[in-house]
Amino acid sequence: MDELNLVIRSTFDATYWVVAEVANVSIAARGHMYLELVEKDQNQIVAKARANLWSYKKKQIISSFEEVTKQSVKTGMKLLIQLSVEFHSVYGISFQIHDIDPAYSLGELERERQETIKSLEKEGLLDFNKQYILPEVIQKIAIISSKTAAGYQDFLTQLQNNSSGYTFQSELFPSTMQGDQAGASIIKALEKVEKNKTSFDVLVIIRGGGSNLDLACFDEYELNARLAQCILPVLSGIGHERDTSVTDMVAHTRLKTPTAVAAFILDHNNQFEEQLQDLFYRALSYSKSYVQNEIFQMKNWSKIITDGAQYQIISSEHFLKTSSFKINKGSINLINKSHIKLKQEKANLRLVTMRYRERQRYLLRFKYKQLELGVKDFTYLSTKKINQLKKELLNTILLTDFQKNKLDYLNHMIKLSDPNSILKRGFSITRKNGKAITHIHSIEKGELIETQLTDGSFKSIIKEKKQ
Amino acid sequence: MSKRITYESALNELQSIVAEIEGEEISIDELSKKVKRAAELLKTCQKKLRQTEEDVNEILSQFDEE
Repeated sequence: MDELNLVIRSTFDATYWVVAEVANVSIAARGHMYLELVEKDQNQIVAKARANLWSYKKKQIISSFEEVTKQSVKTGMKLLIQLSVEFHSVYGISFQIHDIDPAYSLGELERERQETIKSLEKEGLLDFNKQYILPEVIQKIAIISSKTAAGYQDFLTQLQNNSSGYTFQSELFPSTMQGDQAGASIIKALEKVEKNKTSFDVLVIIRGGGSNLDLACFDEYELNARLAQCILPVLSGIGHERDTSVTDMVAHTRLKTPTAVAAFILDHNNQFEEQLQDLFYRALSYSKSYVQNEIFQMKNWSKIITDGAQYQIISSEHFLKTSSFKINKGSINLINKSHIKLKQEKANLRLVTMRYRERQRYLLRFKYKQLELGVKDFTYLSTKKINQLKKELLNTILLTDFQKNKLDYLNHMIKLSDPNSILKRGFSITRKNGKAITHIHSIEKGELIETQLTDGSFKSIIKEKKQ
Repeated sequence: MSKRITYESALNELQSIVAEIEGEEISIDELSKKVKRAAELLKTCQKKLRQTEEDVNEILSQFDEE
């Protein structure tokens, strides 16, 4: 066994520079680093070995590697390693790492990066996000960053303490920004942004303040392809110190630091405000000149209206005066004519009246004569009639005398038959119960009778009755 | 007389009265009535005219002040 050991040692007594891919990295408690190295041919592992990096060498080798590559040694990385072969009689063959060439890894990383860029370019993704036109005002901001990152805090501070008084609504979609998991974590955060109900104006992807190691995720194809096709314009501020990352290339706008992103947003909004202000002043100046012009026009019109109105008023006044004059003149004319007519009528009236009077006088005279004649006739006839009546009256008087004589006679006769005169001559009237007794049989013996004389009466009772 | 009569109708009436008087179509009985009416119309027209002139001047003076 010892002999075999010797043989092996003598056979592999040199150190070898080997290119291998890291399949696994583990660090032992004592500070030793164990690498599992593989060689692949189209994803098929064709060789595999373990390599040890003892702690006393590790510090120097790893720090120089990290300084150059800005990467820690990790799974999937291709390394150019200086190895020596060790054979342990108990543990068997193993490789011991003497050095790692950072330049090779750097070149390898750069090659991968270039490949990523090429693929993105081929697919049209490199400038895809740049097609977005940023909204005039950026206010709703989705942020992919780490909550604890100093860069994130810087960004918020810068954004909020702006002198223009702009307000922002920002939402953090937290993600690991560094290390192996960063790529997947950012993609997850990106998906959350895209599913979020808020329609953001931009996506800001920022980091800073942490270690500058292990930022390879920003060169990964998958993440950058996704970022390029993000539904929002992407503003990057991932703070690479060396050259730009692929993320910076696919971003809509790349900025060095989170603070620079905030400044960019503020500047963008400021530009819009200035544009507005400019437009406002232009509108103002245009309005002023427009109004000025209109005022001038109005003054013109006003003059035309004034003149027109005045002319109208003057001509109307003239018309009224003319009308008034015409009425005056016409009225006087009418009155004068009426006067003349009246005079004529007066003269006519006088003439007519005279004629009428003459005629009436003539008629009157005629009537008078007629009346005179009539009166004469009437007098004659009346006299005649009166004489006749006189005669008749005379006759009547004669007749009356005869009648008077007759009356006297009759009177005398009446006087003769008056009971009083009979009573005077000694006759009396005997009455029973007021009735004159003319027959003897109308009285009975014992009855009360009254006998009237010319100057009184007496009552007697019948004692005897004779026939 | 109604004050609401328009200048236009007042003028028309006035014109017809003038025509009647000039044409001697009016009897003396009507004349004084017509002349009185014409005077009223004239007064109305003149008043309206004055008012209009004042209004116009006032309205336009507002423009001059600016």
